[in-house]
Amino acid sequence: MTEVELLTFLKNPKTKTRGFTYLFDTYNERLYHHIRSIVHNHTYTDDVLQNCFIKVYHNIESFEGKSALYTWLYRIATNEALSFLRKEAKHQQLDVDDLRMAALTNQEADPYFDASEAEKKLEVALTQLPHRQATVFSLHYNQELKLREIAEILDTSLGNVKALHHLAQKKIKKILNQP
Amino acid sequence: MQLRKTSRKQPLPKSYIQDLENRVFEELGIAPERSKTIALTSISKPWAVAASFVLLIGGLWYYTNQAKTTSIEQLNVEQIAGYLGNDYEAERYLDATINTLGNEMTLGWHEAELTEEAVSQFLTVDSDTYWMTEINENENP
Repeated sequence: MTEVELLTFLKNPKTKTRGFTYLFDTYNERLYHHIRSIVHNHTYTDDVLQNCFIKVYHNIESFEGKSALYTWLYRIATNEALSFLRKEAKHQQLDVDDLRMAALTNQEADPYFDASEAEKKLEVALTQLPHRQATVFSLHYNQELKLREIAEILDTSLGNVKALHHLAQKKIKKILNQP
Repeated sequence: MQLRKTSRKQPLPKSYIQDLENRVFEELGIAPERSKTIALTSISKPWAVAASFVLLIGGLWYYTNQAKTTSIEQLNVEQIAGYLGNDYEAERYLDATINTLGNEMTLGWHEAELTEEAVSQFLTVDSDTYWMTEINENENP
């Protein structure tokens, strides 16, 4: 099914459920990994992902099709993840970046994160970056999105995304090269 | 350190996806609907099939004609290159030869009429003549 066809299904009340089921099947894993790269543990990711799908279902009528559907989905997922981090940090009386670091501590016991040593190091390195840099890097590296697409998702300029990505790369290299 | 891009995209356990699906759809108050014919019910499908068919026929027609033209051109160039024994200079060499022999040629001369006999004339023009021709042309336009 093409994106245009999927949107036709989603915007028609008679076929909305069928379209939404297709959307859920197509995007659940991709959105899971994207959200996980921001909040860093399974429990948080699960909460955010569920909310994200519910938001998509309720707001699909407002999607005007000015950008690609997946860009819109990533934007909702990113906003939901960041909003979750802010709320959770406030609740735990922590800074957002400290919370991200803390979320990573249970990684070893997490059955949903079976990564290589190198990837675990990268995950740790990402938590040491400001969250916008980490998000840009992750969207580009893990989700293989173009910087132009990332700019659309984060609702910012391409120049800003380039700068964030450059800084992220530089810091990650430095962190990974530390003994 | 070499990082593998795709390994973090390991498939999630089916039980987890099922559990997530149950929770999401329950929260929305709907039941998942899956149909194998979802794509076939689309309005645009018959048009897409028809358009693909037209494009396929058009593509084949275009390719056939293009292939003919290309093979004629390639044959000439390869033939001449073979005679001259100098592949990459063949076309330039041919141009210079045509200029040199221009006065002896009929007005109807063109590459498509190039015969084996005509090509043999080119062999009388060696590389020195070629360069001299170019110099003379530059000096006396």
